[in-house]
Amino acid sequence: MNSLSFALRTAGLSAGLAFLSVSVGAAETDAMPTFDSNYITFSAGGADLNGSKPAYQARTQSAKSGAAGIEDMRFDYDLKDKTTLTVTGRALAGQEDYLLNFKLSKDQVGSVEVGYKTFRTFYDGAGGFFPIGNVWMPLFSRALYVDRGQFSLSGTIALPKAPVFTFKYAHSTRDGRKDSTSWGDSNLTGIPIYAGPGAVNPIAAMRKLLPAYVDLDEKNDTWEISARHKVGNTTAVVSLGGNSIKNLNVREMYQNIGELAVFPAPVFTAPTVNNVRAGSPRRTTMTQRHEEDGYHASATFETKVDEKVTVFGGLVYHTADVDIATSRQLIATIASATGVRDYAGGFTNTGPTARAPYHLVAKGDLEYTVVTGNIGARFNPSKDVAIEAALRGERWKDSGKNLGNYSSQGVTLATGAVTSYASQGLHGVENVEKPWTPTLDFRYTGIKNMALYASWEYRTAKQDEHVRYEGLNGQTKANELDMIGKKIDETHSNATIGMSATVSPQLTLRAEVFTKDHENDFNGYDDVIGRNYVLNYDIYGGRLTAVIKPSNQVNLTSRYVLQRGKSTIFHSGLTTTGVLNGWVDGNDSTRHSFSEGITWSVSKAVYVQANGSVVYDQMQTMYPWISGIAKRNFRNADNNYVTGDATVGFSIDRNTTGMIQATYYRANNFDADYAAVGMPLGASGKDSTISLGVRYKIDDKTLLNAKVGYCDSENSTRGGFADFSGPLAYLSIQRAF
Amino acid sequence: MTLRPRLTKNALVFGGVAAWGLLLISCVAVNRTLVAPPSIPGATFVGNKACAECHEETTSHFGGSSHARLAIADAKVGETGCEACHGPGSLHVKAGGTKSTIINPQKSPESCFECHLDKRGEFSLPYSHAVMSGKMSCGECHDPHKGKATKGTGASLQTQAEACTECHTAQKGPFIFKHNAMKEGCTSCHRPHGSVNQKMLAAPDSNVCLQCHATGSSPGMLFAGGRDHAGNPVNGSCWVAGCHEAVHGSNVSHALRF
Repeated sequence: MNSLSFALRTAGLSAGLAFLSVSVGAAETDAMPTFDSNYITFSAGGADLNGSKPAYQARTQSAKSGAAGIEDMRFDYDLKDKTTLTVTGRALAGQEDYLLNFKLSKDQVGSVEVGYKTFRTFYDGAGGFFPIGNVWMPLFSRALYVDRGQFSLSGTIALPKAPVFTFKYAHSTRDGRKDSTSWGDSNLTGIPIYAGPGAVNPIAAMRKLLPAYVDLDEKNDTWEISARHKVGNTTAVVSLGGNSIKNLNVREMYQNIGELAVFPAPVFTAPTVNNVRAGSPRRTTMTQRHEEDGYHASATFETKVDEKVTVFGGLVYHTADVDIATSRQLIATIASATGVRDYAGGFTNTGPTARAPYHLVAKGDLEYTVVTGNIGARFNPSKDVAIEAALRGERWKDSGKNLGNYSSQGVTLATGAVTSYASQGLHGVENVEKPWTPTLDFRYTGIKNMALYASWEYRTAKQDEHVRYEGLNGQTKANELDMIGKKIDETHSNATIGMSATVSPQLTLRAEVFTKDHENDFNGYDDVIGRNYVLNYDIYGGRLTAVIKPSNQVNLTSRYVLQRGKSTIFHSGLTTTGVLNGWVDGNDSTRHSFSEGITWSVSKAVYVQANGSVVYDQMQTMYPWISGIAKRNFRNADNNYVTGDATVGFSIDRNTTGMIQATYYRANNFDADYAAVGMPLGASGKDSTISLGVRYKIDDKTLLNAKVGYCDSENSTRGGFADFSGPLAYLSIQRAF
Repeated sequence: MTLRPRLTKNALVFGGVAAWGLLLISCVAVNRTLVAPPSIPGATFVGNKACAECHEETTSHFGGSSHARLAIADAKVGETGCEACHGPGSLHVKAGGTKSTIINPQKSPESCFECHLDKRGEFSLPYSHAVMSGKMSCGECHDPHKGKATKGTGASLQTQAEACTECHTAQKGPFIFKHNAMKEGCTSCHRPHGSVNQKMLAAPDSNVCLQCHATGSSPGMLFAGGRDHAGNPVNGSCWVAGCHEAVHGSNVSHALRF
């Protein structure tokens, strides 16, 4: 749907694409004009929707209110002394999509550019749907969007036969609220809750479906000064830069909102259903602050030794200090003998082993230093052979500490007595990682109309990580880990072999196979000395692309991608009775993706373009080999879908062209039956759009675009609560000066 | 109850098709060639050397890129390296480099989709980066002229995952308690071009975690990370509230909570 949503920039994009190809040949007297500079495009668009407007916004990335303004503009002014000022802009109110950029450039001297741009992305964030009780509990309908902005300033001095100096500064922001999938508990799922002496629900009633949100306040300043110069056959670049990140992100999670476990609990005889025996409502606000100041310096070179050999290399040094802070404010509402009250991190006292929810405030700092270098050479021993060999090395070191104050209140329901628990925990890390990555690439073009290639990359890394953890686990300070170490060995080997061939003027083939063989060995896993965890995973597959041109008017492109993933896991040192201490299959995934594109120039005046993808994608992990309740509660993950789009472009008369577009999407992975034993999350839905557009040449400097369409979206994963449909319209006028 | 006249889908479908038929009849006398994007009517191939005259900084290292390995020397069209994606350049050269005479994939993904057809489908999915709506471009994450096209891979000086963390700084870390999946790259869990699942996840549920964390089982148990989690998939995914919420890394919990 996105390709034809009526976001103004999308509409503009589609229109631009469709009409870009209109002939510009002078011989064609009716060619539509295209404008390079000194033009402005005003546009307006919107939708008249039935159903979920937030879902429409998220799906189409278009504002429900519609938008209007300047979709695109560009002006070039020739000033004195071969100096040009270029102004580009966009201002779409409603869509909150703005751009204003000035670029001043002078031949043989350089340029200065300053600009600001921002655009909005939308989210619906309504949480999960549970089919048994037809449960859908968006907590409130506050608008969810994030504005991504960037102010940038750059300059280049490029005098003849002199080093090229460049300066770049950017201030990037992400500001707004988006959804999170860390959903919270609800017992109001429609599954009966059994209560009374000895009563046990055969299936838990609780599901995690209450929505959660993240308020983003992220700022990132980056700057860099660089100089690039060519001396003889060597080009060198040196640069110095820095960055400053200031992130303050706040998450809100809700659990058991609208529920309260009453006191005293009603006495029933099993299996009497008692839906008032629910959970304790909780609201958790989690704040993460990350303030980082870093600097980097780098130098790279490339030397063409002769016609057959080029060598290159570089070195980067990056260091940064980070201030971190965390707060977790958890308030629980609990009914006890003394009434209903709010408690900080509150929980029901059920003994010393209970894992208590907690309040937390923590503050600390981190620092890291990265040194990265590479060196390599490109060889062309003959005109048909190209070989590149390179080596990359890195030393990453980070260390830090974070002091947390944990607290919680346990309530004894029968008396209402509150016991406060508090603990101070110091967390720390010291980590050093040294990866080495040799790479080898080969290309051969000695066979007529064919290119053969192969590439190989081998990454080996040794990591020495020590962490310290003290938390409030249970009701006392627990899990104190004093710099327990993990030694991690990685070996990753990635390889690709492929070919590209023009078999005939009618057929071009491209094919490649790829494999990834990765093994990560963790000694000391789970912070226990001697415990060993090994993850070995292999990915392999292939890509086959065929471009067929049965005639000058028809072009067919087919692409098939196969990817198989398999992982095996070894976990030793577990002490729980009966746990396997051997290799197990962690992952057995399969993805078949077939895509087809057809372009048909029916005549000078008409073309047809259609694309479609059919994807079978299944991720299988433990389901095949677990048993009992574990198997009952679990499923494979299916991620299958079909997409398609079609466009017909046609000339109407000397001043008018038209376009009909349609899109389609369907997925069917939602398993409602799984709700009886789990939380169905598979994606099912169906979207379609159709639109009719015309472009009309008012005169040689003025073009009018208009589109009308209809969209229809169904989302079964959301139980139909996120469906929407309705007509859409778009109008723009482009004027050149 | 107020009834409002509305455009229906069927009305638009049949109306559109009928209009198209009528318009086809009227177009035969028009002297204009319409071709499907991305293409440049009337242009011919000029070869990489012509491109290098103005774009030397880009073409100088293109030979070492993964896209260059697809190039086939063809006497008729010159080496198709640059023009395979940017379209034939003769009109662009003749016009002195005007923008309307060359295809700029930075402005539109259509040129990339010519080969990466599957990515067109992925970007059309409900959860995807905003490429199809024109708010982002392929070039923000990929450099097609240099190295492996994906930033931070091969012998590049950049670090792994840098393509993602340039924007997603909150996930960058470092953290006191790391999630080592980050070392394998963001694509271990996410499909960056698009997914049917929220947050562009490779799977909507605990399977995405159990790819690596399935560590053994005895009858009726589901061991992950050394602890039986058999009862947990009933409730939802591994990263739900109260569980492993801080999946990218935590500064306060070795079990990855906030």
